[in-house]
Amino acid sequence: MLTLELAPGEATTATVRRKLGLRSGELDPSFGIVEIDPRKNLYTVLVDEKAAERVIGQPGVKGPHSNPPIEPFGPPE
Amino acid sequence: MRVMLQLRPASPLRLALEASIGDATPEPALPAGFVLDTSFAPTPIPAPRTAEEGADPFSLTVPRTFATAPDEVTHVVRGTIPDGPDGARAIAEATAHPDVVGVFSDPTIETYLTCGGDPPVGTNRDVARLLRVADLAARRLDGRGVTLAIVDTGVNIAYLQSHGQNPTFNRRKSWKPSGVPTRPGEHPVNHGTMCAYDAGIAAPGATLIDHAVLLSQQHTTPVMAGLLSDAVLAYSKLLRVAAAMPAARRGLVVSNSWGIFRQDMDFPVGHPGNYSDNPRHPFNIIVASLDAAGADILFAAGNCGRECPDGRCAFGAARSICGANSHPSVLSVAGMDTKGKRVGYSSQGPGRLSEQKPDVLAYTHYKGSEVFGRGEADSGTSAACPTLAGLIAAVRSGWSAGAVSPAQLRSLLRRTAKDIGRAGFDYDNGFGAVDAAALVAALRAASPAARAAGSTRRRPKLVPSER
Repeated sequence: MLTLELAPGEATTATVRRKLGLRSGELDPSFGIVEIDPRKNLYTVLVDEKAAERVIGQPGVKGPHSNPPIEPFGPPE
Repeated sequence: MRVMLQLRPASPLRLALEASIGDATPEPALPAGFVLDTSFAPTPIPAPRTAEEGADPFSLTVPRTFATAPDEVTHVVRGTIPDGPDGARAIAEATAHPDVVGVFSDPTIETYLTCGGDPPVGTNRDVARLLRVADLAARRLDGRGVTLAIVDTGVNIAYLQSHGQNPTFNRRKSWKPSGVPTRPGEHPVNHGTMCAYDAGIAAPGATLIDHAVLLSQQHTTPVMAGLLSDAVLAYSKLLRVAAAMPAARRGLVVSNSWGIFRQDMDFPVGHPGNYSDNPRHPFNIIVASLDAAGADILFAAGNCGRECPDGRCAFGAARSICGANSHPSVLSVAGMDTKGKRVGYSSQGPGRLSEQKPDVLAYTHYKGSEVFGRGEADSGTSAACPTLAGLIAAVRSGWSAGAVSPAQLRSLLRRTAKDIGRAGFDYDNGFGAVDAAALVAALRAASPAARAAGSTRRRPKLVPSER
């Protein structure tokens, strides 16, 4: 996962792909552009690892962040 | 240290001790360094005997009888000896005493804590009584007007209805990961349905919504699991749900009985993309954002308690309450049984993102939904979390997030918890056991202009339980 600062109106797949220079298939379209903090215009996207390495360092881009598996806590085994 | 001395039958020392206890007779000369506990009367121990000559009477494998005649029994007394080298001298002195058979340890013994696999401790009715559900309902504090999100393996409403609950369900505000074939509210009966049932104990009037993040098709082992990015998607939907509620009537409670069991699936601590210890991780950001939007967020503390941890726990010496489960903007819920005792699998703090975790203890390990089989307990901090979420939803019927913010409610919940264990906050029990009556009393004092709490005709007095 990457976090992005986007200006109003930029939270579209096409804009993010163009802004980050992502190639086809590098941005997970089923995940989309997900707003995580409306007060700070922060969004997150899922990209493949190679693309993440390439775009890190661009202004307003942070990550890559881990995406670990999560499990129910129970019943205790 | 505490020790027991075993005294020979009819020993002069024992007779003198018996004569001295309870009156002014001076204590007889005791082995040097041994301080007698005078509250403990010399207690007879039957003497083992074997029929077979020469056999060891202390063998556990030969047939034995036990003599109880006064001239055959030994007696034990108890007391203390110093620690360290003086203790070793005292033991040597006592062992050499002609009246002493032996010096034995007298360790502290405790009741066992409830562990996974143990039978249920109480039932959902006990939980309802302990949470003062009838009193709350009489005040119309039953979850009405409040949305209660179960973020888990999916909910099965028909199962809840067949087990005595009849929740209102909102499919439009529910969510499921892409590719999941079943509809919200109709998912296979599993962990999420248990959570919904447990939340319904205190909040039968709440509107349930179902966010089945743990049915994600992105991660196939184990079957009931998801990725943290699935939870990000669920929370983005919940943000919209919260934003659509008028502030004066905002009531959204989010119950999360899940987390990570091992560190090695995460980036290392200190890596900028790490989840467990990093408030800048996208999920930890969206959790803080949903809290700021007025949602009460609860996370199970986890089942990695030191006494009987879940076998999946693989944190080693690292703190197991991590990531969002340790977030300062959530309530981290530890588990206790209906006898008010912490269950042995409930994770201890400190937390990673916030040191003072868990926050409070709530009830678990009771017979309730029977989702996992007839007579099986609703267990884990998995059950404690929605049980408390139900109580929070119930009180939100009277105090919206516009009147009392989630942060204020967390503070009141901690302040009114019944302190158990060590005085004040501790890492086993947090701030203590949730106290529904004390919470309502504190809310009434803090925000008397409540929406509904004062509108009931029948207004039973809620008395905080003994503290």
